Amino acid sequence: MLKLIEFSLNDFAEDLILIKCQGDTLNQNPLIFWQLSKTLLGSFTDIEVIPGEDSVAVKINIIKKTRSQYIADLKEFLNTYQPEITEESNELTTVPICYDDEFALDMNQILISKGLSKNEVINAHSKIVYQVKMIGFTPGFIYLGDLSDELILPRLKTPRVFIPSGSIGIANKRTGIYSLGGPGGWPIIGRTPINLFNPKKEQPLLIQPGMRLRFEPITKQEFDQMLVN
Amino acid sequence: MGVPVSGAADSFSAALANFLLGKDVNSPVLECTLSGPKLKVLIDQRIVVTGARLQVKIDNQFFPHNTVINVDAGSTIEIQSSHCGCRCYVAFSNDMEAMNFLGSVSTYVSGKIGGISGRALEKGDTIGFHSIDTNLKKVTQLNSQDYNNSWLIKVTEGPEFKQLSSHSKGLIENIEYLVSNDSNRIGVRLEGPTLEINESGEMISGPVFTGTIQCPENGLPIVLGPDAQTLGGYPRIFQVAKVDRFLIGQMRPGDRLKFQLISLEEAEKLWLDMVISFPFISKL
Repeated sequence: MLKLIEFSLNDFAEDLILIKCQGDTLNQNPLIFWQLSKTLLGSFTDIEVIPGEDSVAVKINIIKKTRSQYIADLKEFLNTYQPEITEESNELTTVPICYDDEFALDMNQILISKGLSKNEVINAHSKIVYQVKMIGFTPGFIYLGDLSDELILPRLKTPRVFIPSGSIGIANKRTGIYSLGGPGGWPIIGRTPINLFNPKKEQPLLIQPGMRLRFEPITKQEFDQMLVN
Repeated sequence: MGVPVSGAADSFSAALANFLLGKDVNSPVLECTLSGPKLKVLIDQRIVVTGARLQVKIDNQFFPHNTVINVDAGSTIEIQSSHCGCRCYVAFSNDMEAMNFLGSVSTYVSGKIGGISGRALEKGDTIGFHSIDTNLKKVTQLNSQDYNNSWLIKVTEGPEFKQLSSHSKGLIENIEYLVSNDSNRIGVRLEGPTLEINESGEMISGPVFTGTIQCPENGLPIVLGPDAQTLGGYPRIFQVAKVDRFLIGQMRPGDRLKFQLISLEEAEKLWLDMVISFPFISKL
């Protein structure tokens, strides 16, 4: 029999409950909260979910049931919850990235704080086949990991009010793609000319957690050409 | 997928406008920020204006807020500006035609989703309407709260509240913040004394929601609005109580703001009490 996962329920707001689990579970099943979110939506009719990588927030309707009743129901559900076993996806998506200074807004800061040359940074970022860890933040923001240890940096002290769409950032063990423009707090390492999120399509985003993705460095010239096409 | 809640920044006022017209409270409305548009009416409509007290002028005559107004085809509606509150709402008896995405027609500008081509309305735009049968409520007028330029916002402890230094925890209810010019539907940024975070605060991005108050390393809190992201990596120090969440949409740059810390139990009770006073908000 599979070992059950120990979840904990944490306070977030009068209408939000935060579910977390023990650290080891995440290493064994990095997609646990994505899977749990889907199962929760299928099992409860009066909730919404906001999945993160190491937690999920459950939005409850305190007019229908009290908060403590929801907590009791969620506890009961989690006591017997067993994640489905998913097979590693073999699908590999390649995303072009231009590390030109025009796009890599924080490259100089990255070089200084890591003591690396630009080529070393590019190599460290583009040599890894990443796993898609989570989708979220803004529509189509893609969290990828793990980032090479050489590149680990904290978030910006003051987040930017606007980052252009296609920007690619790094923060801690993650690198991420800003499919849409908007505010953001990750140091920016480059930009992709391709648009990964299209709300007009039936499937607005083709990338799903669990898929594999790698970056392919391109020149500024190639970037401009791909943007036109 | 990371699509924000979106919708009216002051969802209470938007719901009130629809309610007075006898419509579903989540029907589309126009949101006017700081100042309003001039609209030429092409078909007979009933309208209600709510929210920030932007002056309503129809064919050069002033009309009150929170009241059903009959407007004939050919009339001109002018929504002017105000000094208090940030956004007003115009609801129409007929249903506006707008782009639907995931069951919502809310405009989300960063994603170019919803509304009219996913953008703010511009001079010269035409808004289409489906005519619908609405049953006008007996209440055709209802008073709602007036705004001034200072806010006392009820908050509960957020998941990372513990990361605040004890000095900051002791100080929090006495700090008077100023609403920054960098505020919008994504977030209200605050200026004032900085808060201290004990741990370096580096965490895996976790879920956030409208009303989550994040504290980046610079110590200045950001109150997330309806167009905010779904995940964030800065400590979530507070959450605006549901009963005050719609006020985020009325904070205007330059306003003063203080926090009042309450318990989750109080927050839950306050919301249930509010639903008893205004039953139409139960669907928000």
